[in-house]
Amino acid sequence: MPAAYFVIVGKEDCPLYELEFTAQGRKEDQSQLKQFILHASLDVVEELQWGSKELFLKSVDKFNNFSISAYLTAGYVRFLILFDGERKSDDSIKQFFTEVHELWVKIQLNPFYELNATIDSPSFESKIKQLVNRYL
Amino acid sequence: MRAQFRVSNKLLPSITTLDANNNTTSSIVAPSSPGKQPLVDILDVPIKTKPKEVSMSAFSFLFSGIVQYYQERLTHGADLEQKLSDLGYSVGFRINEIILYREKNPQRKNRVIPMLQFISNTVWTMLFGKNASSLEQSTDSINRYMIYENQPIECGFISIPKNLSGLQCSYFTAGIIKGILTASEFPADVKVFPSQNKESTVFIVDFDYDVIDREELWK
Repeated sequence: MPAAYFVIVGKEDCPLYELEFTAQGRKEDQSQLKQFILHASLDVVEELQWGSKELFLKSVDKFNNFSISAYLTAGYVRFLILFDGERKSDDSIKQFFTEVHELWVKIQLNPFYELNATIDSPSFESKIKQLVNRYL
Repeated sequence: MRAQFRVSNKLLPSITTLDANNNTTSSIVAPSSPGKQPLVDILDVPIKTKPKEVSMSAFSFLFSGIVQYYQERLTHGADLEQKLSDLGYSVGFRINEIILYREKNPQRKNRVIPMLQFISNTVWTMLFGKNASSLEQSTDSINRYMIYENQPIECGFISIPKNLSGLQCSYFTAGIIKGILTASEFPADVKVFPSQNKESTVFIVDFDYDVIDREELWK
């Protein structure tokens, strides 16, 4: 699977969930740079989100070898994924985001989930990892 | 940390527990045996299909319990409205996501008028089974919109005593509207007033001026 960095960003640009996966065998040494680039791409997402009614925004930003895709939910919560080098097709990224959207809605409906808090559930984490293996 | 709701075993012999990691367990147990309970992960529960409807009497019972609970603990009537609004806010914030998710071809709302139409039609149908009576834009101020409701359902069984005659229990619904709007990046203030002919209630939605500026920018 390609090296990528997936993050869910809530209100006030706070990250609610982050997951980093690397290609087999490589050590990860650029985490901070990736976080920085993802944060910077939020500006681009914000410009695009008012012009379009779509949920999936496809590729929004590029930096050197990194490309970023974004997906917005009804509550304007952003799912961002940063690819290092090779990218999967738009369709598989869209399917991945749709599945994550479903998990996100279920988390959100939980009355014990404090709004805009980080997601600590281990089952959520394992489900995201399964989705990553399947679609990315 | 586990949170547990226990209702008297004579009324409801099942115990549902939900912990902070979103695991629900629900089972019927005798009061004296803790026993092992099967864990059902809420992330496995399907949400795409519409759930069963809740009876009016069950909802009114719950709502009256909420109003009484707050009334015992508050001194001013205005605080009760604020509390109901806050409660509605957290409901609105959450249902915003699921209503859009269940649509056939989900699309975000990025302008004020479609957003308000979404609330007065889709959200109202999901909550109350019918559309709101009407939606109007105010002629006086640019950021004010009104949603009229002829028969607010949640107040159907509430009678206001004379000493609290200004009280509006529809602030719960106002809180839901506010939650949906705030979650969708249309920050607004929602107030409730009885309308001119006293029969219906009106929800006055005042958007923040940021929202209006953004609308102008994208016109």
